[in-house]
Amino acid sequence: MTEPRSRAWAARPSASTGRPGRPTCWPTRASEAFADAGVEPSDVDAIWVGSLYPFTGLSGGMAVDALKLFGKPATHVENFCASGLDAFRNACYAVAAGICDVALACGVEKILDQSASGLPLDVLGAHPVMGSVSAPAVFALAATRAMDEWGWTREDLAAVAVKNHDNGADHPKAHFRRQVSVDQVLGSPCLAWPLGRLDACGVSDGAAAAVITRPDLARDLPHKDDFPWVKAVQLSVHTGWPVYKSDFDYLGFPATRQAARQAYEEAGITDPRSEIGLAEVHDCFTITELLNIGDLGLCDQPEAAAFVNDGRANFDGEIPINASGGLKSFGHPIGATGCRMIYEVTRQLQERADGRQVKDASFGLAHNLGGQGSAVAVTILGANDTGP
Amino acid sequence: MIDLEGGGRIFLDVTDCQPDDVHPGLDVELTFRRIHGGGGYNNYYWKCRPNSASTDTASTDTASGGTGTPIETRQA
Repeated sequence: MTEPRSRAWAARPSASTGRPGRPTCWPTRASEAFADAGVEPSDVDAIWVGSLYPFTGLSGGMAVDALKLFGKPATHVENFCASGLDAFRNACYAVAAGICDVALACGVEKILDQSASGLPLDVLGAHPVMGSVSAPAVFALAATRAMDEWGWTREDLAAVAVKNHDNGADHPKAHFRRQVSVDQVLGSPCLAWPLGRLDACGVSDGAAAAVITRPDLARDLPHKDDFPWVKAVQLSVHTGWPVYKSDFDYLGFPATRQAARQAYEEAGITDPRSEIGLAEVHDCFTITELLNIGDLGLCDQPEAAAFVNDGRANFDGEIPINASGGLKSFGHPIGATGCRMIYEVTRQLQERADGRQVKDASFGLAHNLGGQGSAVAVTILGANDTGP
Repeated sequence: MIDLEGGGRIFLDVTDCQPDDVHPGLDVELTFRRIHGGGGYNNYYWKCRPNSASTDTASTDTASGGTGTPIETRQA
């Protein structure tokens, strides 16, 4: 696939506790996106909305009802935690194919009124006697494996939480805007050893939206001088149940490596470590961020703990990882997270970040890891001056 | 998570040992246990435990376990 690429901008994330029923912040987020993009809601040719849980909404109907765009083509996308970036990917394809002039990609999730103390587990196919293995349990196994293989410590994991909460404390749209210390992380209640509560991202409600259009149309809109380009939208679905494959070693996720490889190829990036200016990676747990950094090729896998500890992943470091604060600070409204990352990367490349501004980034990467590493989406946006 | 001899993987609780005994690569065997019960009914499922010292790992009703990465013991 070659250029011209469509572009994205004006995504609006939010993390808020809404009232039971219809997601309440989503319409506001979409309005803000339309306003920022300079389009009318009626200009939207089609909508893709990512969300995971049936109780958040079903079918494209959830989109047209929430956004009052009755009659529009609307598709509900579900790919575990990659739903948001997959919705974005589908919307980009529609614009790049010339089917739509303007497409809306959004993500939404409403979990907090389900009275579950963590992620509701019914999606994992519970055994009637054994029950489900929780998300912390699955990633705890990756943590014990990495500790055994590379000598990573709980302090190494905690460094990720400290960094991300430090970043998120400065972001007005983050759900959790409080710094944490290593001691607080280590002392937090244990979920699944070695992961404690502060090793895990929070459960949050939220929504985000992005408007995508073609270059020629974008040149007549408010962001004509600073719209980012969509350089790569890639998805790799390894299997529904990666951890059951006998060659899965818990030392990283094959789907991430594949999606990243495909994305770098699509974007023409030959040396990610020098070309990627910032990365929003899926830090559902601290261990996940560490493994992601290696899987995305941003450092050698065993070095990821040192990479964070040395400050190279800080917002002003070599490759800022989660300068927004990540899932740790924003929580993980599952369907919304991918679109929130698009928002963050877009604004970073436009040099109008809400929180900490990363300097001189040409390419920004957004990464979602869905399920146990089942579905991974990697999206790369380029700053306006990286266009053809 | 346990790698079974002959192939396949399964999530199981580890039992009959201390948490510090559990590490990746621990050799385990399957054992059939009561998991929970109530109202006069009991529910059974497998757990695993460190391989007993005996070299005879054949069992009448369950396959032998293999090495793997055991999961944390669940709190009752």
